[in-house]
Amino acid sequence: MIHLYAFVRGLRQVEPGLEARPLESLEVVTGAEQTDPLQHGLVVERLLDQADAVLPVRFGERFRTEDDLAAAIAPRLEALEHQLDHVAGCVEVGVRIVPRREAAHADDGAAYMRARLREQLSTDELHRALAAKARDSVQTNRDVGYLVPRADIGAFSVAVERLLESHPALDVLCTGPWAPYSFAAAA
Amino acid sequence: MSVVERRQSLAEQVTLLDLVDRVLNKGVVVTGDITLSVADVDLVYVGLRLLLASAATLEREAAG
Repeated sequence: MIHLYAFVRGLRQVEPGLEARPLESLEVVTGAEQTDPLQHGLVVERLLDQADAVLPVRFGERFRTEDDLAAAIAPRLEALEHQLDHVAGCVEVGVRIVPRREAAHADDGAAYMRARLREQLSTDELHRALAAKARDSVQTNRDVGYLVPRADIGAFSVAVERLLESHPALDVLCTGPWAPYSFAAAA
Repeated sequence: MSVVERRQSLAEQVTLLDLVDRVLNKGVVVTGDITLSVADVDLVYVGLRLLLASAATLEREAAG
């Protein structure tokens, strides 16, 4: 079985146990059968330092032969190339904003709704401010993944820190930098 | 609570989902098939191993 890790561009080195094969304008990083999702994730994160652009593949994509792999990729090649262009030079920073549950202590229904609205408004405001500093953003429930150019990570962290200080009623959990999983859509 | 304290208390909320979401639920899907078992090992079990590994990793990072 061939295990698929990621699509990349500008791969500078290939770690032992992995294979990189060129396909049109991108490279496909594969390895022997992999049964551990954590290892899959770690390989992908390491690729982030070894290539100019990394498009992570969801764990569990495996192919019997190289021909099967090539055949599965061929119809998606153009979409994959567009996605690689989009994430080139970027990492993903995850930001989760958790309101301090002021609403939970509301005296009545109206007060509860007002508190929830205030929470939502400050959360939205925060995300808008961060989105302005990122190339792209994708929201999944409370988590927003920001696509941040490598060179801007410092500035982005400072922005998160400032917002955290200016919004004492919100808790902000920042994770990453990750490989841009949230920007690697089903092709 | 200081910013640093708030950050530390939040770090504890980093759950299995943060890690699993990326590797199992996000990323490019080529075949469209979800692998429910890997090498005859049920994925739920694989997930449990992931939880243990990630909890250990978090502890190590917290200590370091």
